Amino acid sequence: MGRVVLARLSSAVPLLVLTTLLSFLLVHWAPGSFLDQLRFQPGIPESVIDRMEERYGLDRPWHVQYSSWLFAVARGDFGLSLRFQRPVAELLKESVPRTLVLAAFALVFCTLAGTVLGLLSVRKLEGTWDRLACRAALTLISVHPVILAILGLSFAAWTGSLPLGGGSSLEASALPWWGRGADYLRHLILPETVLILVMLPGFFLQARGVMAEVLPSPFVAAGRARGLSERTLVLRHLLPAALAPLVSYMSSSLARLLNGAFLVEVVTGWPGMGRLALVALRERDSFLLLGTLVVAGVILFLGNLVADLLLAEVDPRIRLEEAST
Amino acid sequence: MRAGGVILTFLALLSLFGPELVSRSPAAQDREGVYQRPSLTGHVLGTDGLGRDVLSRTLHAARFTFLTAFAGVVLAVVLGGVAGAVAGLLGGVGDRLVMRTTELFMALPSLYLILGLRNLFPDSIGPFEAGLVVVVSLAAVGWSGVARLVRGQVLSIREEAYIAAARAAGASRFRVLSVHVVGILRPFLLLQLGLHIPYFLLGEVTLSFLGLGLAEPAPSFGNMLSSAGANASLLGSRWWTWVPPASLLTVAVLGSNLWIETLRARYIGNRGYLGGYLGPPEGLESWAARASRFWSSSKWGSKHLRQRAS
Repeated sequence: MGRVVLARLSSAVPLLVLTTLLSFLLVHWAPGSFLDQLRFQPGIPESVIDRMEERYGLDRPWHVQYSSWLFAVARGDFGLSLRFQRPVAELLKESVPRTLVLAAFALVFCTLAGTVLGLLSVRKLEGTWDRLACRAALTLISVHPVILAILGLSFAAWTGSLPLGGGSSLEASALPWWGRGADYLRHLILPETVLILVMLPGFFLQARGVMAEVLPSPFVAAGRARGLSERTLVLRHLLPAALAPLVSYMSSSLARLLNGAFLVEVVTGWPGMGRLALVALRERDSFLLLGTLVVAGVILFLGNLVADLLLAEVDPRIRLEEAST
Repeated sequence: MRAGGVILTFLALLSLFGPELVSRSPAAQDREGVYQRPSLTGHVLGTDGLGRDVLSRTLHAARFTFLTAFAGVVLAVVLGGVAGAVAGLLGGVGDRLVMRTTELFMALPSLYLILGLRNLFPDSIGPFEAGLVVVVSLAAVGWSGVARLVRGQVLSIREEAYIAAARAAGASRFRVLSVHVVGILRPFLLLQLGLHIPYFLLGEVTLSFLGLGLAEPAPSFGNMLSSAGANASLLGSRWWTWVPPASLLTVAVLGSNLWIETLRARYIGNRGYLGGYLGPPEGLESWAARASRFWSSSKWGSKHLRQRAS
C-alpha cells in the first residue's frame, strides 16, 4: 500500500507543479489586473498604485514572481487578496471546508443510494420500477444543475422553512456550539439536496448498468443452482463483482462533483470555494483566483489518489499488477 | 427509440428559423410593460424585467446555445482526434508529450479551468467574441478526453495487418493516418461527437449563467436564468421569465441524451449506460449509420474496404 502511494505521488508531483504553472500563467496573462482597475479611479494617485505594485512584487518578471509564489505556497502562504485585503490562505480556510463538506457528503450519499437503487432495478430488469427509475434518471440528468438549484430555491422560498442562501445566520456567532451546528446544517440542506439530485442519476445508471452486466455471468447462475438465497447472492457475489467499476466511476466523477458543487454554491449562496473563485475572476483578484485554482487541482489530485487506493483494495488484480511491477 | 433524433432535428430547425419568424426584437425594451403575463394577444410568453419579449429572447438564445455547443463539440473532437491519432501513430516522445498535456488539462476541474481561460479575455465582449470564447473554452476542456480515447483506439488499430499491408504497398504516413486509421474510426468519432453534445449544451449555459459567456443585452439561456434566479422569492410569481428557456434547454439536452442511446445501441451494442433499456438495436438505424453505409457503397468507400480486406 505504502509503495503504491509513493509511486503515485512521485509520478504526480511534477504534474501538480505543472498545474500550478498553468494556473499561474493563465492568471498572469490576463488583460487588466486589480491595480489597473484602481488606475481608472481618479481619487487614487499614480504613486500609490506604483507603491502597491512594488509591495506585492507585481513589477518583477513573471518567472521570478512564479517561483517566489510557489515557494510561498509550499509554506502555506498564498499571498494577499487585493479585493478583501486579507491573506488568501485565510479566505481559503473558511471556504474550502464548506465545499468539501458539500461535495463529500453528496459523494458518499450518491454512491450508497445509487448502488441501492441500482440493486432494486436489476432485481427485475425492464420491470415497472426499472423503467420508471431509468426514465426519471435520464430526465433528471438532462436538467441543468442551475435549473435544479433555481427550482430548489423557489421551493424553499415557497415553503419558507429553509434559509435562502448564505452559510450561517447573523445571530449564529452568539449561539452555543450545538446551536451553531444546527444552524450550519439548516443552511446546508438546500445546496446538499440540489447537489445530490445533480449527481445521483449518474451514479444510479452506472450502478444499474454494471450490475446488469454482471448478472448474466455463469457464477451467478452457479450460485443460484447451489441454492444460495437472493440476499447472499447479491451481497456476497453480485456486489463485490460490481464494486471495482463502481469505484472507478466514483473517481471519474470527482471533477463533475466539484463542478456541480461550484454551480450549486453560486446559485444557492453556500459560501464555498466556487463562489470565491467567481468573485476573484470578476474582480481580477489574481492571487485569490490562483489560490482557488491550485486548491481545486490539489483536491482533485488527492481524490483521485484515494480512489486509486480504494480500487486497489477492492480489485485484487490491480494489486497484483502493482506488486509485479 | 428515435425520439432523440426527432427532437434534435426539430430544435435545429427551430433555432435556425425560429428567430426569423418572430417579429419582435429580443432587445427592444418597453419600460411601461415590464413583467407582463403571457397572453395570446400581446406577448405570447410575456415580458421580462425590462419589458423585452421572452419568446423572442428564448428563440435567439436557443440559436446561440445550439450553434456554439455544436461548434465546440466539432472543434473538440477534431482537435482531440488529431492529437490522439498523431500520438498513437508516432509513439515515443511525441506520444508522451501529448499524453502529459492531456493530463495537465484534466488536472483541474473543468469549471475552474474555464475560469482560468476566461481570465485571458477582457471582461465585456461583443456577441461574436463571446461565441468564440465559449467555443474555445468548451473545446479546451473537451479535447483531452477525446484525445486519450482516440489514442487508445489508434494503438490497437496500428497493429492490424491491413495497416502493415498498406505500408508495404507504399502508402505514405499521411495516407495511412487519414484513410486507414481515421476512416476506421469514423463511427467512433461520431459517437464521441454525440456523447459530448449534452455536456457542451450545459457548459455553454453555465458560462453565460456565470456571466462569462454571452452578456446582456444579447439573450442567452444562461443570463435569462441568472436574472430570474437573482430574486428567489419572486421565482414563482414570475415563472414565465425562466420557465421557457429552462424547459427548452432541458428538452434539448434530453433529446441529445436519447440520441446518444440510439448511437450507443448502434455502435457499442446493447450493454451501454442504460443497458439497452431504450430498446434493442435491431431495426434502429441512425442517419450516422446510413451515412456510413452510403460511404462504404460509394466508389471511394469501396476502395477503402478493398484495401482493408487485402
